[in-house]
Amino acid sequence: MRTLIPQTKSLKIVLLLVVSAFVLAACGAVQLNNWPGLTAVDGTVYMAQSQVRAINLTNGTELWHYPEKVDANNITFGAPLVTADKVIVGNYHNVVTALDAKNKGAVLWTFKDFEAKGRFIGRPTLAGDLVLVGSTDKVVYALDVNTGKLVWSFKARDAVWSAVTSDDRFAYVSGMDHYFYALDLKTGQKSWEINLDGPMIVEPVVGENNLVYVATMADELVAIDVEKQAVAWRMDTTGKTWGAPLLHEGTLYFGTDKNKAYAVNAATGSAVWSFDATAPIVAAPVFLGDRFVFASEDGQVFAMTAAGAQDWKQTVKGKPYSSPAVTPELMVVGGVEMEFPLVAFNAQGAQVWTFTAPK
Amino acid sequence: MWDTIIITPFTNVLLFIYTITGQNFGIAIILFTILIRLVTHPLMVSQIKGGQAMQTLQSDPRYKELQEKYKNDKEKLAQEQAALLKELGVNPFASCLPLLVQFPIIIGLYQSLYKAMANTPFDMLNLTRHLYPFLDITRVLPINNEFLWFNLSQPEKLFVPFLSFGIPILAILVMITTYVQSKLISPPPSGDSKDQTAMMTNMMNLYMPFLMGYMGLTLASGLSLYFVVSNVIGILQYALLGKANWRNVIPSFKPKAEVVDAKGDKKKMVKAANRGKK
Repeated sequence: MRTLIPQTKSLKIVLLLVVSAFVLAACGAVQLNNWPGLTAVDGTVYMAQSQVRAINLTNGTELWHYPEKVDANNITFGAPLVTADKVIVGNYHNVVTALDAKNKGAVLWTFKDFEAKGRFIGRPTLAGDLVLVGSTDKVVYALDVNTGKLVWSFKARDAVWSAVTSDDRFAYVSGMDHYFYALDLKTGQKSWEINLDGPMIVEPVVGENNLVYVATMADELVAIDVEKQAVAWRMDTTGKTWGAPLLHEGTLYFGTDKNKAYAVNAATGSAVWSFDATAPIVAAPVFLGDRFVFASEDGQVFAMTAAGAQDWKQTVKGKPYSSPAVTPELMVVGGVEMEFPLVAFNAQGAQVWTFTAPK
Repeated sequence: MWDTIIITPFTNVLLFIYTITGQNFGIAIILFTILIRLVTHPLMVSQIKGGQAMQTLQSDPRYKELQEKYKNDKEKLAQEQAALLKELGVNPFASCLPLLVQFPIIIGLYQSLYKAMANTPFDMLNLTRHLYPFLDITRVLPINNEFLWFNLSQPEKLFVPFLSFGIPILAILVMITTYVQSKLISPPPSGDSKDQTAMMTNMMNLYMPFLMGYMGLTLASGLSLYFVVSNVIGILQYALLGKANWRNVIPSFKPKAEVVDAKGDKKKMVKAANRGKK
């Protein structure tokens, strides 16, 4: 036993070492965390959660993944864009990569804006030969789908988190800066803009009769008339919408983080029905069979009829936050804290397979 | 529990400051850091007093006598030292405990900064759920992360035209201010080259700046800004309390007078020690 005074000095130093280790652990261990982005095309479901994985949609087995190992400088969460031969993803390090869908995800091209240091959060979308993708560096990039070369770019007032959607004239951008932008699809020049008084994290949905729909974080769903360049209607929602509304035969279906599932007349903004879920709904709903399927935070996956009656219900262990990937026969659910990262259901609500990444 | 007591309140206060200061996150971090340092000031004073009492004790003749007398009986020496500490009213842990209380606050501050700068939709979802009702999300978002020449959510580097690489100004400032602060709060050199405590203190004075500098280099620059401001305020606090050992940093520095506790605690202790002799 040493003397008491040096003991307390030593204690301080040991404490300092312990605390610095603790500080390093507490401060240094912060990792990017998000739900996976999912896309299903031609018998394959693509999942972006740090790595990009291609999974056989029939049996849930992995076909390939990219990159080979989890790379802290190549983290992807946005749902992949899948074309006839490419899988295109934007990562959290300002790089867009095109992978060869037919050749085990071999890299075809990459795009990086060396001037910027943003994150591609929203999924890339396709408009003719252009890949449209928004970044937290405030810029919307339009890239040539075949080469990855920059065709045009547009700088918003603040970060763009959502996917950029388009019709044959405009690219529509819903910004965190509260502005809804319509860009000339050929040049990227701003045609017009509207301040919607709320940040937007959900991609715009292009509808019929010149209407485009977007949810704001001010608990509103807004319809914009792109001919008149003005708001057509606004609807107050109970809670925020995190997944893009599903437009089906003149009705918009969406859920909110205050446990509401809505069906809204797309022409007028009046509610067709609303349903009280048992937990917040973050994922976008999907159309499967003839049902509208929602997933709530408590793991409930439930199907609603067009009239607003609940049909089948299933449960997954975890929080199914990802907007499901869907084909006419199957839907694939993903999220955070999931027992199985992916779970596939058929149109009758029966579980078909589960997926766990191979070690 | 940790979220409810520390992180959520911190995050809300930080974002409230952000909304009332022209939506400048850099200024919000600076003001929030000042606020936290002011709130924890009594703990810091208590820590300084405890540390100084221990230093004074070590120069007490009776302490040295005990060391000499019981140099071959460590157990008895510890008992006698404990008795002496009790008699003088010195708590050997008084300088450690306030330090320990401050660390959860520092870590909470770090985590609330990170939380406020939501990087993913998942982070954003969590952030919106933890905002108090008085915060209007349309005023909070988007978070303006730009401050001076850097983005607070990214590691900082200053690029100058004639250099092909960026200079991590903030990380360098973190290292310098951490070093200066740790030197200022270290006791003056004892002159004994075999003093193990002094050697370990010197080692820590070198280790900590590198550790903090590494964190400043790799983590979001909003945190580096916090570290720099926090260190500078710490240095000012020590200086204003008259507890900064400037000679540790500037060897030629000559203090105007002997450093004496503002409340005269040192005198009291010496008197108590003298009473003990009689």
